[in-house]
Amino acid sequence: MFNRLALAGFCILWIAFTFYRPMNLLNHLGELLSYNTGVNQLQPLDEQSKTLVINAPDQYDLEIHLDEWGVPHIYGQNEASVAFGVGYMHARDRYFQMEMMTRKAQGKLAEFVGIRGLESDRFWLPMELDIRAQKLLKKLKTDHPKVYRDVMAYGDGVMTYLKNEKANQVPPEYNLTGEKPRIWKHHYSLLLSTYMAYMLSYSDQALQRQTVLDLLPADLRQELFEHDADLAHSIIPDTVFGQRPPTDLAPEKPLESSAYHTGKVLPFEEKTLGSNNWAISARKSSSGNAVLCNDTHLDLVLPSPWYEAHLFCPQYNCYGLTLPCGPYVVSGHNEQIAWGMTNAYWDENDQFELNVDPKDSTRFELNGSWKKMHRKKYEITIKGVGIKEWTVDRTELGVVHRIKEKTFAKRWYPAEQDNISFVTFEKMTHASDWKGFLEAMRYYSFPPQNFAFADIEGNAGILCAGSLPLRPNFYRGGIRDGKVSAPIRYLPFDQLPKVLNPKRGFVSSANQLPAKANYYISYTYAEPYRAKRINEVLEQKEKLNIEDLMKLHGDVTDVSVRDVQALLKKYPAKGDEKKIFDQLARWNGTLQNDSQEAFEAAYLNYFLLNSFDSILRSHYPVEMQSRYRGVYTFLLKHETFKLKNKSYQTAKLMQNAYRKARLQLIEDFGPKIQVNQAQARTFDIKHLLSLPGWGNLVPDAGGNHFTPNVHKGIHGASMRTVIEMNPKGVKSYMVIAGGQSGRVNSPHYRDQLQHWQQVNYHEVQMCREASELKHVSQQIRFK
Amino acid sequence: MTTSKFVLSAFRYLLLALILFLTQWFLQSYLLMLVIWILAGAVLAMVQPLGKNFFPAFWIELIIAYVLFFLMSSHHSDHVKVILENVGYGGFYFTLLILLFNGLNAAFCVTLGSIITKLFLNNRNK
Repeated sequence: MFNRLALAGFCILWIAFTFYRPMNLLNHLGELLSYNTGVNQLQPLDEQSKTLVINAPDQYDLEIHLDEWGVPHIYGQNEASVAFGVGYMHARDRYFQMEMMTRKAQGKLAEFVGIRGLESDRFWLPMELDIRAQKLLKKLKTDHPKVYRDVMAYGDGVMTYLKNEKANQVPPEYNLTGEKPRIWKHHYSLLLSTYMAYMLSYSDQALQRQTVLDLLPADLRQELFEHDADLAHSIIPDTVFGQRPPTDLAPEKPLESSAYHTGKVLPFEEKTLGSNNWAISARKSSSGNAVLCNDTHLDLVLPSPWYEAHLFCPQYNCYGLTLPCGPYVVSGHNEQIAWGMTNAYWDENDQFELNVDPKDSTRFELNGSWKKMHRKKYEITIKGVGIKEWTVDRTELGVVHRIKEKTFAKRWYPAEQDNISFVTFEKMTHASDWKGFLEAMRYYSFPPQNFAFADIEGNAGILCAGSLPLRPNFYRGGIRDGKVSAPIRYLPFDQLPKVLNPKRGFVSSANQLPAKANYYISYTYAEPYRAKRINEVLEQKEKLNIEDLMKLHGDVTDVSVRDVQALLKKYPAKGDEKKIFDQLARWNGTLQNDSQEAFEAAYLNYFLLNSFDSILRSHYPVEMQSRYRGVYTFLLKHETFKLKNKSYQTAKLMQNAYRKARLQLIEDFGPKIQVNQAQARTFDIKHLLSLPGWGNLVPDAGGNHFTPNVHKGIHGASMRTVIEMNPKGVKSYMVIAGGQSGRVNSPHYRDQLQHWQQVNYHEVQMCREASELKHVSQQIRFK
Repeated sequence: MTTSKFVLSAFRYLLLALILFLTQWFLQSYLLMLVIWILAGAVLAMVQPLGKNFFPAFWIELIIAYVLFFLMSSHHSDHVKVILENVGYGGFYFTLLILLFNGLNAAFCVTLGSIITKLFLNNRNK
């Protein structure tokens, strides 16, 4: 009897164990490891059938042909039908990604992923983007009916797919997490632009920047932190950004010093995101055609943020990369023009210090009177936990947050205005020249981007576009005075920096300083080295061909090494260090992943920059580390330097760095310091949810954040495009880091990875007739 | 064992195999599948109160799981193997995990059903 009871108890324990949910995110073990609810959910999509026939609303008339890479060629009878097709294909290949993206922007991530989504929801929920997107959709109906039409058609396409999806063909992540795909709503598409703006333009460094402004003498700050000295390598070197001071806002009263220490030091600028684009005009091109290249360094994840598509209807023929949730090509070309972008790193954040009433912490001073903060309660549903209530105070200046006894309001400009960047991309599909391109760009707001342009007439140009908020005169970043408030104004479109067919025959950008400016844009850009390298390669030859430009995508030459070499020459290494670092002095800066010199340079850099930084911060406790280029040029210029009356010798600092770097190299690579292939790094492209095994290990391509090509951390080119604007027919080549499908059980989940890693491309097909397409793997007809 | 007992036993386990197979093949609900497996154990205990069902159920499920996961659906399980290989485990571990888990799951459910029935029958006979 007792034995039986014990056995029964053990059986019950086992059954309970099968209901365990790993990480409080995944479905329970029993469902995951059983046949029908587990592995069988991974059956391939109906990609085997040559032709699928799908029921669709009557107003849409289209056909979709998928090629060997799973790229959809959408042939519609009108523009709405094409948008419908994009929605259908995005839902089929990327619905999980779309749901994650929209949930994040709505502040509803924790509902799906549990407690790990709470922090994100707390950030997004108070912006109330969901309500704003609903209102914007209504506004689009009257203000931009074409975009409204496309957004509605796109949503219909998504819903048609979801309606026709078989229960056992939902994306595997749903099965894995025990959730079901949620119903799509049309306004979700409008969350995309703000989500991208967050990815590319949100920054929360005002407190740290304030320490730099408060504590450092102006000349030292200028040398070590500001980008003004890099004008020669700016995007448009010979242009002044804005012809006259555009703001009449009075300078704000300087704030008290050293009141804002957070105790957190921001590291040396190593942008996790970075992109390149360049376009050569006809006179620089060996074929006589303008060529445009782009590689955007969005997060390297599977599935890729990009989705390739060919959109054809009687009104246009457009090819390029779309973003799931949106109906348009974001980087690509039509039959007349091509465009591609890099992130502009404009400052789109303000942090205001509020003067709070000592008697009532919910009142603050604004424009000479006391105002009440608006208090609102939010509810966050957390999977596996329940509902959590959370209160947010808000002012006209932004959401309130408190650090010790200080109160701040944070304003993020993309959340302050309706984002109608879709209008730009809708117009771009129809644009046929520079004028049409500029007309389309007029509607572009967030995230600010540097748009390169090329056309079939052989022209090449660039425009730094977006909404740049105007700040008070003499503002240079940091905390703003929250006692005064003025209406938000943006820089007029006509004053944005742009150039068409510059003398040098090409345009390029790599997230660096855009141009000389008469007013504040930002205090943080990418270092100029990547741009310098790109320009150097483009200038090397009088005429460039497609192969030269493709090769530049894979370039891993770090020209910052030349600054280090100049330091080595001026302050040579001695004794045991001499042999190692003499070798570095002769190196060409090519950062192969097993290059011995690359490791030596990286170690030397680390110890040099950190030694200098710790000396600097022992006198001026700023909470940002200096710029790389700032430190190099400072040390080259000053053989001795004084920080608060204490003198330092640069030669001594250098010798100290040489010694530390050598000792560390010996510790890591043995007494002979030999880096072998086994020590070369591999790089993990992770899955969107970081699910173990759903990502992919690839060999590290070498390079660093100063080289055009790099895979590091989550950083790398998420796509590459090369577009030759041949008037007889545009020729373009593309590759994305991953594949078209977001489903781990699809052959197109990671089929482009190897090509991408080797910097190869596939030639795209842009046929006007579906019958001319080659290697069609599947047709989808709608009735 | 007499011939009739052998035939009865074989029939019993064939019936169990059929139930285990069909529930996994058709049912989309894991909970319902567990309930049916427990009931199958109960029915087995009624037919043969002295029989022990743990190991027969375990071995039968091993065979069924192998057929389902690796013969009938090899193209599905290949994706899972790739995932495990990416984590650093070979495909062998996946095979082992799937077979052991499902074998034990069926064995414990069937055993639970039969124990409950036997306890119930014992109490009624007292």
